[in-house]
Amino acid sequence: MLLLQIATAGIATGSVYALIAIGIVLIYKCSGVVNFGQGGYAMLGAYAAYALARAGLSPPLAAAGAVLVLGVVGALTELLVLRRMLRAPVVAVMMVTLGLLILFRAVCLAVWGPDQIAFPQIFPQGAVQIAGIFITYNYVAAALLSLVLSLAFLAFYRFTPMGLMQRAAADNSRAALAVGIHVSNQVSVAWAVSSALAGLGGVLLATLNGLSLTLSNIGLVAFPVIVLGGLTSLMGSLVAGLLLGMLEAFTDGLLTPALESFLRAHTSIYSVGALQQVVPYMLVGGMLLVRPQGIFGQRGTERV
Amino acid sequence: MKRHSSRVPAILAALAFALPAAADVNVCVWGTITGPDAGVNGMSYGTVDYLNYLNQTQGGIAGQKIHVILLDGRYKLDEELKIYRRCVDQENAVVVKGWSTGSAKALREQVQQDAVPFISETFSSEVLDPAKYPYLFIQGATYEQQMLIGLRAAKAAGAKKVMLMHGDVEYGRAPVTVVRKSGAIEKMGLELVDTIEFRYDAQDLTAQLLRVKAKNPDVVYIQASTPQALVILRDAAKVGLPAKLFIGNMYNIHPSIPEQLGAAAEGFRAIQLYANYGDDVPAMKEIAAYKAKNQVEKEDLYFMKGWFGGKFIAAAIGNAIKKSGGKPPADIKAFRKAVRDEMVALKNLDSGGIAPPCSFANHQGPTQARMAEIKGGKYVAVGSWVDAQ
Repeated sequence: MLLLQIATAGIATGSVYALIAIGIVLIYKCSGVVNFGQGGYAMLGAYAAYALARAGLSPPLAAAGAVLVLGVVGALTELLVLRRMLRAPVVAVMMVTLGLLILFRAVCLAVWGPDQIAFPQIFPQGAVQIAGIFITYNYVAAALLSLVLSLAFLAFYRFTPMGLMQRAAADNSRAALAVGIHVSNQVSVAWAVSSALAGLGGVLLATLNGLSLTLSNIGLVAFPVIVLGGLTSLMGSLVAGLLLGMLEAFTDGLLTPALESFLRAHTSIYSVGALQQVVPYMLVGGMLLVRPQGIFGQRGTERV
Repeated sequence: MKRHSSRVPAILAALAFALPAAADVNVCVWGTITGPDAGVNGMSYGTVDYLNYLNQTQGGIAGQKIHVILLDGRYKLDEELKIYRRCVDQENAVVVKGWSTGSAKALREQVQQDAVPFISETFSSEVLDPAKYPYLFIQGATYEQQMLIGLRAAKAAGAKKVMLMHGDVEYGRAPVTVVRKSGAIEKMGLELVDTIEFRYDAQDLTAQLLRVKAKNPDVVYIQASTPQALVILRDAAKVGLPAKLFIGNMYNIHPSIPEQLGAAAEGFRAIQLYANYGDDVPAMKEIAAYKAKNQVEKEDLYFMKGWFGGKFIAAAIGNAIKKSGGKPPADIKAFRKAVRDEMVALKNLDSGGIAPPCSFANHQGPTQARMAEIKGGKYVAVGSWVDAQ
């Protein structure tokens, strides 16, 4: 029962990681840019939902509204900032995304202040108990949403004309242009969808832990997920997110107590610290050595 | 929203116009104006506001205008260390009021070398040593004393088994290590069944709470800040542990805990060192008078602590000026030493009811605390003030 409870907690946390990571992968797939500002969009989404709820909308409507607002923000980011950098080196574009993160934090700080804010309840409080296992409604929602969205995006890329255009634009933008695909518009769509997803992830996180500027740190957690899953793989993000969440939970729930128990009995060491933040990066390091493209990533090939 | 939007220009103005007039007495205050523990930055605003209140109502202290410099340390150690140097070398502050446990520990030797009175917002016992650190002061019961007050209350209620939970930062780790190694818990007749260290920015602590559940303690003491207490109480409720099992330190008194968690927070207790904002104490009359003409950024317990800190600083500076013939010593080093000596000499400091009258010969001022419990969505004082000693 303990193992199941720990695994459930890991899956629930991992689902939120996956949701944020999927957004990063969406942009990377279409434009080749790693968006370091994804955590900023998540934070902005949560603050937007808070503002809409304060303006009188019911919490679920405010959340939906925030997702739409973030979609527009994402599209505007691409139109006003990134489109002007089409010829710039990818590293420069990535630095701009980092700048956007700082800008979003500054805007939220100026408008809402630095304090922790209680976030409106979107889901019922408490947890559902299934066969002795507790899962909060927020986490049930996060898990379902990330699973459904991942599958939906997979289907979108594989079976729809727009998905095909997005893949073409990502694979070779010049060739895509030559066959009549408006590459810039495809990138705009990717940014809009990715930002909306990040906004949704931010709203879910805020319903769990309250709202503050530190919510943007979730973007950092998503990076081991996409490296582990493969930068171009949506399914990889989902699987790696869940894997990372489980790994953290089992490190906390089993490995740490066992290790501490052993060390306390045989040495003068009392605590191993917060081991959960070491294990994921060790795994990422190991993965990069063995399989640099990640679990689901594809090794790049070049015709000579 | 309107209130916050006016804050940034105010901060910028405070930073931009930090040039002192020649005759001013400079006091430097830094806190987390923006950063992870900004929720308790009333401690900085309170001090700044009290000194400005004296400027407005009494022309300063002993006839000298106080020039208060407020800076943002952002809870980043490197930033705090830079600010300290600025306060001492450039601003010529006669008193420096800092922020975190990490910075107080990093600066404790430097402060003695610079011979500048330094007050920290930390409650760590590791910086409290009047013989070794004669220029370093805190303002209340140490984290360790708070922990023991909480556990003593739990023991009185019948607790036998104790667990400790703390964040993986100096503020979390150091006090727990001191108490654990001291054997004070066992001396109290309690059994420490486990200690859990967790990631300070953890999003989920279910696994840790399952570990708590497996150990079945009678009380769990949390050495962490508001965001972590939120996660702990939320996940505790999830695995079926009641909030009344947990006790937090003075930084766990924050409205966002009952607001965010609702019924899941009912029964949670925390250590209270100062009067609540709005309590019927004389200091509130001063605050109300100040508020009538100025904007008060934070209206909470932490602002009260800051106001108390302002009174402490003002009393020592005032006495030092009086003793040097009504004018501050011309030499900043002599002035700093005089203020430090007056801090130690303060007896029965009247804080207007924010804390019981206290002296600072112990370098920590008031050592009394009481428990506050969340009842009906609000923190309510339970029991009377008890002395940590």
